[in-house]
Amino acid sequence: MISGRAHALRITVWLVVASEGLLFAGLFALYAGYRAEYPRGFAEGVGLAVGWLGGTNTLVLLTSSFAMAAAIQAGPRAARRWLVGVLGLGGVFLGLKGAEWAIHIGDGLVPGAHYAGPHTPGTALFVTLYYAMTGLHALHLVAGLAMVAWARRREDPAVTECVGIYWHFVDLVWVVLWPLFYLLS
Amino acid sequence: MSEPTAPPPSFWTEPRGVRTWLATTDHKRIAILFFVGTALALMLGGTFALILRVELVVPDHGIVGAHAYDKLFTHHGIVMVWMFMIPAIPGVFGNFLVPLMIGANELAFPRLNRASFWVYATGACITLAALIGGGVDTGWTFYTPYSTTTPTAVAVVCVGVFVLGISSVMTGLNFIVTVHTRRAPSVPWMKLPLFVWTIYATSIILVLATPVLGLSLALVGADHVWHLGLFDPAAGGDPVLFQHLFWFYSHPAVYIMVLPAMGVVSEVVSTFAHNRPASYGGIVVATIGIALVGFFTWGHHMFVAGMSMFDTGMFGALSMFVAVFSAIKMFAWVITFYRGRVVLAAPVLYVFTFLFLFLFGGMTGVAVATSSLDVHWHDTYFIVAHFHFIMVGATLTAYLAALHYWFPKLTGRRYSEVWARRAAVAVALGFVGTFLPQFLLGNAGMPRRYYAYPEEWQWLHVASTCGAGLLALGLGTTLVYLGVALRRGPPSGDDPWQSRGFEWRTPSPPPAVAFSAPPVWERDAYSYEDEVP
Repeated sequence: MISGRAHALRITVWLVVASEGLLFAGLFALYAGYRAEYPRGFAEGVGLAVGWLGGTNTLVLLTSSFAMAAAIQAGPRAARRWLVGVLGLGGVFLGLKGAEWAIHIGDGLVPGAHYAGPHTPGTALFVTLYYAMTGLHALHLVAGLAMVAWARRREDPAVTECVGIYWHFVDLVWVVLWPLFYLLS
Repeated sequence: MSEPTAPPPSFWTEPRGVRTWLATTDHKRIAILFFVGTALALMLGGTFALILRVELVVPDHGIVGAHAYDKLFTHHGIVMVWMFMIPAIPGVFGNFLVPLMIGANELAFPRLNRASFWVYATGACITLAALIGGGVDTGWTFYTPYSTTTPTAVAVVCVGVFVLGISSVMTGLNFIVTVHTRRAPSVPWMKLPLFVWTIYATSIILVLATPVLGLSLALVGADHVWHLGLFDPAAGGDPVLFQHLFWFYSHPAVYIMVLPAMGVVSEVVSTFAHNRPASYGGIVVATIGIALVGFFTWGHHMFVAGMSMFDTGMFGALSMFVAVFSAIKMFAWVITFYRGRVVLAAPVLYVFTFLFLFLFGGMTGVAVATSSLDVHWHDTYFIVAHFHFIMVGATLTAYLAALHYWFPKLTGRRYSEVWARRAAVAVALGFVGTFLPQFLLGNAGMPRRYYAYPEEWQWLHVASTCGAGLLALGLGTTLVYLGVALRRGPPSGDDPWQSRGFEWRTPSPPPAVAFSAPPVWERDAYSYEDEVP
């Protein structure tokens, strides 16, 4: 029998995941629609990606999810140490992501009026979606980091578990974004 | 002033002070704050509508110019949809009644509830600032590519509505968790009052559909600022994709407005017929059914926007399922009345108006869901009249029914029944008078959102404007006699309608803490068996 508060927290986090899932679903729908319309432009866009950065970041996030799972399994004291690991890996991900954006912006791959990338139809849309989707994901990661820091202070297994569910969700979104922007050329 | 004895302590006066009201986490006080907000929005949106109607009395230039007209109908839509109709019944009556109806003292997250009001207020202020500061001329639907290229204040309005959406999600989430975790032991799921079921179903839509609206508006706003061309054909974008995203929220949004209205009607019908609802289970299934099917009907807004015959047929057929579920409810209400002992009072008059508007609006809905007919009526006044009947009329009359039915619960006072009936008749005649001519105008070919029109249609526009005036008179009267009743109305007693509903089993108005222990209710919320032969 779980307590009323833990029950409430668990329902809340699943509702938040469902709600955020639909937020991303809108963007995935746009991606699917435009990819179907401009297969060549999108393939060329994927070619512009910095593959090793995306791959490294995938590894970083998957490892952070492992640390998160370990924090939930561990006792309250050990959980604090695992959560530091999650915070660190999340920070590394954001740093690499920022570096990647800087490289792209340096190459003239900016969305909107100043776009200076390839002019294959659809590539500019791909670049806009790249920033929109990885940007929205990064915002969620920042929110996730704030929650992890909160869970670390609270030392409450129910809170840690719920924050973990959210963290895995953010990780899962990246696992879908990775092939869409780095692999499917 | 005749104040014989000091009223017993209630949530109104305890604790005292303006600051305790502004910082309150009491669901009853938050409900009152939402009432103030939504009532102001109704007045503002109504004022915009009246200016539009007065302008349309003459076939060409009247009191405002063409561009001001475009902005006015946009502002009317934005204010009415996102500041009045979406939050009205859940924010006011949901907040006040859901805990009382499930035997709880609070929502699951009282501070989240407080935040949801202040986020609503912030979003409303941002939106209004943009409307006053420059205005928007896109229509409330923000269709691209016009919305991303017009020089008006689109981006700021998008931010405002986005913030209003966050408030919606917070409210919805709180209600769902509350119904799951805060029910008293004597209120199992299948004894929940029907109003709670509708708030629950609405909350699911709020949580799942609102993010898609937020996303579409964020993209339009960003596109407007940075010229991304995401929905601009000149840059390779597809405007129809925006329409899909927009209606994925905005069609379910109709059920965000109508489902709580149906909940109000179920409660009022049962109380004033002194009879158990004809089919509690049927109404619950229909409520959840509408919420779910509502997610798969958005395409019927886009029959003429470029859609395959197969999709058109599917969206049309799915839309008609909504009519099937609605019919289940309609029959249940009518049978409940028929088998009961109906007491005619102001809330019942509003429910009669609701039933008429809902039936008429619903049948025209089936007609426009038929794609071959929709080609003729699309974007005409027929559509305007249809959605005002079904979405606005149903929501507004249910809001007024709720306000009159639960006024004694909220305040412990009674209003003037005579004036209430007069106002109810004025609202009914005014509403029908406003929109019946618009069905005829649309069928004759008058497109919506047009500033000028041929002279032969003038008499219909004049008739519509007269209706709008009567509607405004009815609403204005309501404001006056309810205001008087709030200060000087005679005490109502705890249960003036002899209802068996759970919410009437606490004092009216309720004290700050309604239950000292989880209540034990042996008889359910519709136990009228001893009264009906």
